[in-house]
Formats: sequence, structure tokens, C-alpha cells
Amino acid sequence: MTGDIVRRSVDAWMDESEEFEEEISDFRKGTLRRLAFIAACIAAAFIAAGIGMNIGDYRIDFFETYRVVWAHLTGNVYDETADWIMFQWRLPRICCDVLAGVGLAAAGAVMQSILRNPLADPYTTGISSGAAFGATVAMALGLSLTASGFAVVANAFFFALIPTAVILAVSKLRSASPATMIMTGIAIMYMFNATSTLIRLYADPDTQAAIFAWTVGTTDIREWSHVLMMTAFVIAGTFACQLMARRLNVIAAGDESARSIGVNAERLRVIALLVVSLLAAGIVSFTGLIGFVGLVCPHIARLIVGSDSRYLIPASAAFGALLLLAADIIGHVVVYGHSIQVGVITAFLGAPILLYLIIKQGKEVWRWNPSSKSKGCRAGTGDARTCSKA
Amino acid sequence: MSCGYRGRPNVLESIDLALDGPGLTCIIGPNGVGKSTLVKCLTGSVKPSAGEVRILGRKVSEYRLKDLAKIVGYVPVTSSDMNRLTVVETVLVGRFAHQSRRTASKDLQATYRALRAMEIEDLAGREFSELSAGQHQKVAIARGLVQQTRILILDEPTSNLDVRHQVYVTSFLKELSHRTGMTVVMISHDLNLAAKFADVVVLMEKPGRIHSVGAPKDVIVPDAIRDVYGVDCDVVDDQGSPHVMLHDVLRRSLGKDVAISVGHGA
Repeated sequence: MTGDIVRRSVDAWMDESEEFEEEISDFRKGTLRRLAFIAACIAAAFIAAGIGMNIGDYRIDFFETYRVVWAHLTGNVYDETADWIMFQWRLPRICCDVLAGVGLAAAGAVMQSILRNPLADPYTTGISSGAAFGATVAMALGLSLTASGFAVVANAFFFALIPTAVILAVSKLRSASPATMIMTGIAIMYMFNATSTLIRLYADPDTQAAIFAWTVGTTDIREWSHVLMMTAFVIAGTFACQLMARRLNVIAAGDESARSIGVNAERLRVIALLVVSLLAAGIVSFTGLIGFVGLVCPHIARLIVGSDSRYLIPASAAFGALLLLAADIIGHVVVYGHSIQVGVITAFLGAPILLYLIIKQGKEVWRWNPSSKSKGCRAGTGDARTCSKA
Repeated sequence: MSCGYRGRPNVLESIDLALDGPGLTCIIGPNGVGKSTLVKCLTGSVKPSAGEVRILGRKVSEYRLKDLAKIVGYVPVTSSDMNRLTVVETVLVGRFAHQSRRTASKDLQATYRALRAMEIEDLAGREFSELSAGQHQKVAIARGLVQQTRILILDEPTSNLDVRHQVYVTSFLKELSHRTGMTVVMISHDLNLAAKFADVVVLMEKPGRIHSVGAPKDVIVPDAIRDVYGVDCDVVDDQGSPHVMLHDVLRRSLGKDVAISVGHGA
């Protein structure tokens, strides 16, 4: 009897004529839903950008903000004052929101994949402590790698990459396993934090306040040169992350399986870590430490688009832009006449969202489920926890 | 070839083994004898300290990983519990070496065929990390199948399966190898499963040597089992296959004459 069943199974496996039209159609629909989520986030971010540009003492209507930007880009400026306010004050900040959101969230999605750790974010490997140390040295001791205009930025960028360099060196000596990377990152983080604290203890109050403000993180940047440099890092970094997406899916199966499927997991982890570190360092050196975006956005995106990195990375990036724009808007309207730094708002928004996700995740309320509509648990891309255990 | 891990004595010593043609080869032997290291050498993930491993006449180390993945499939003994992909996505990554950037219909068809072959179609949408250990094994075997390689190597693929699925998976692999010409190599601790289904049995002994290679009836014999495992047994004929009846193990500890049968003898 077993023999007949097995023969039929082997026949079915060898029969390449069956097309599985229904299952593949469901799979493709799932892909379209993922793309729709990404498109919806981009559209919402576009609207949020308009609202963000609308906020300020000089009143510019919501639709007018887009017209002013368009007029500037096409060389037909019709309102000099609005144009000046928009391009000197508001648009750099909005661009910075989008860039930091995209970059940090995409980096977080990649870090969670390569380190196989849901708590990983762009700062897990000590980038934040390195950057904070660099900024502290520039502000408190006046020591910098470049001229004064870029002193803090250059120091933060350089020192943000040191933990990554140490991790890569240790990985070369031992192995590029997630545990090695995280443990090395934590060790370096404590060393940098201790040194930064020591320097701050002997700094004057004004410098201490400046260092503290930097570590909170802000997107209130008015230098277009800074925005352009961030743009270069974010576009190159996010594009590189997306190029690695298929391989990131492969290493999810484990290092040994990945190798047999055609991917060297350790090498990919090293390359991905380098890309993500450059991407995150290219952002935090300009903005300071903006927390929670890289941690929370991939989790929210994962609940909706799943864990396939080909969709998770762009979905996290699009949602990251939206979250940071929303945080910026809230930071500008919550206290009349004052703005609260975006890093504070992302922490306020991120922490309860993370708690909500931890509690709700068991119920899977957000996961789309094409196959649960009528067909129960048919092969496809649906939610599984609604299916009975086989 | 010989093989060992950094700074430690060799795990494998003077292994000389040729596996060719279709059929199911079972590697058996006690714990820590180097079975998994041997298959890792075959897949190129562990390099021999002396000698070489050749696949289709070419050194394993000379293959690009992606090219090797089209020839040799490998299903490890454990899978990553942190894999948050769905079952269908997990199996689909097995097509990596064949795939272009976009997921083609033929890749999806192969994936759904493999899910059906392992009787896990109903798990397609489930997240891999929430499945049981036995279901993980079936998903991993399905992923090995969709690679559509000439050689498939599996490290204890039945260790977490219930008795029905142990028989089903092993006989499926044997039938598949005979029908398609695929060479299937699997590690097993179940002597009777190996005796029943294997075309060739490789019996390994400490320290990392091959004790004997051949047809099950020639390898799974009382003297060899006593030499390698240190237990006494009878081997009886079960419809043409040897069937191992261990005894003496409990007699010594309980002071009674008992006999136990290991495996299911299906």
C-alpha cells in the first residue's frame, strides 16, 4: 500500500504538466497586495510631506506647497518669499525626514535578516555609540578629522564605522556568525559609551547640552549640501540592500542550507553589514541618533508584506519615510510655537507601537490572508495561523 | 581523504569511497563517528585536510557555489528556527540557482509539486518558524527536491518524523532515485530503515573510518554491529531484507532475558 502511494507521489513529482494555476494565481495576488502596500505608503508619505511643508508661521496652503516646489524645479518661481521659506527652511527638513526614514528602515530590515534577530536595528552593531563618541570628541575636545564646518559630521561618520571594522576583523578571525557580530558590537558599544561618558563628565554645561541635543536626533537640517550627501548614501545604500534581497531570503534557511543553495552566508553577512553600516553612518552623522525607526518599521512592514526581503526592504523604507514625516509633523504641532526633535517623537511613537505589535502578533490581526477568504488553508500565501495544524 | 576541524585531531581518517549511479545510499554508524562531517565534505562546506572530494570528476572546491547548487542538493539535520518566511517561500529559495530575478511560473510549479510530494501542501502559507520539527524536516526535503540536482544528500532526514513518514520519505527517495537516476545519500540512525530501503549501506566506525560498504545484507550483520556499536543482536530475514533484533542490552541491566526490536520493520 505504501508502495502505491509512493509511486503515485513520485509520478506527481515528475509530472511537469500540472500548472497549479490557482495556487500560482494566489501567489501573484499576494505579490500585488505587497506592491499595493508599498505604493500606499509612498502616496501617504507624499501627502505627509505636503502637510509637513505646510507647517510654519508663514502660511502657505497645502496644495500651494506643491505648486511652489514645482515652480522652483521648473524655473518658474512666482512667489519669492514662499520659495525662499520653502527651500531654505522647510524642504531640506522634509527631504531629511524622507531620507532618514528610508535609509534607517531599510537598514533595519537588512540587519534583522542577517543577524536573525528581531531586536536588531541599524545601531545594533555599535554604530550609534561610535557616532556619539565621534560627535562628543568634536564638540567637547574640539578634535576633528576635518574643518570646523563638518567637524561633528565627519567625526560621527568616521567613528560610527569603527565598530563595524572591529566586527569584520573579529569575524575574519573567528566566523561571521550572527552571535559573533552582535557580541563584538556590544563590547565595542560599551567601550565607546564609557569613553563618551567620561568626556562629558568634564565638559562645560553648554557643551553637555549640545552633545545631549545631538544624541536625541533631529532632521531640522538647512544645509542643502548635507541633504545631497545624505541622498547619495541613502540611494546607493538602499539600492545595494535591494540587490541583496534574494540572497537574504536564502540565508534565512540557515548558513548550511544557504551554501547548498548557492549563497555563501558568511560572505553575504559581511558585505551586508558593510553596506548597512555605511548607510546608517551616512544618516546619523547628519541627524544624530534617531531611534526606533530601524527597529519598528521592518516589524510593521513584515506583518503586512511578510518576510520576503524583496518586498520587506522597500516596504520598510516607504513606511519609514511615512513614520518620520508623521513624527516631524507631530513634533511641530504638539507644542504651539515650539518644535520637538523628531528623535523624541519616534521614541514616543515607536515604543507603544512595538508593545502593541508584541501583544497583537499572536493574533495576527494585520496579516493579509488571501486564502482564508473561502478556501481555508489552500496552498498559497495566506495566513497560516488560521489553518489547522497538519 | 581525511578531515578535521581547526586545531583538533582528524574526524575522518583515510576515507576512500565512491558513490556512483542511481540508488539510495545510507550512511550509518554511532554518534560522533564523522557521518555529518563526511557529507559536509561531499557538499564542499568542510574542506578535507588531506586528499580530495570529486563530484562528476571535478574537485568540489573548483565549483562556483551556484554551479554546485545545480548538481548537489543538501538537506542539513537542523533548520533555522528564526526563518520567518512562509513554507512556500522557504521551498522556493531552493530554486535560487535556477531562478532569474523574477519568480517564474515554472519555479512556482516545481515548488508546489515538491510541497505535494512531501504531503505539506496545506502548510504552504504557514510561517516556517511556527511548524513542528517534523514539519521542518519535510519542508527542508521539499527545498532539496526543488533544486532538481543529480545528487541529493540528506543528514538524518527522518529523525523527527513519525513512523509513517519515515517509511514514506525513505521509500520516496529510493523510488525517485531509481526513476530519475538521481544519487541519494542519507545519514540514518535507524538500522532497519537502512536495511529495508538502502541499495548501498556505508557503515562507519570510530575513529572516523569506514568499516564496511555494500548491500544491506552484507553490511548489517551481527559481527559488524557488535564491532561498531558494541551491542549484540540477531539479524533475521524480513521479506528479503535484514532486520536487526537487538538483545542483551537490557538483559545486562535488568538481569532478565529480554529482546527488543529497533525500528519498525515496515
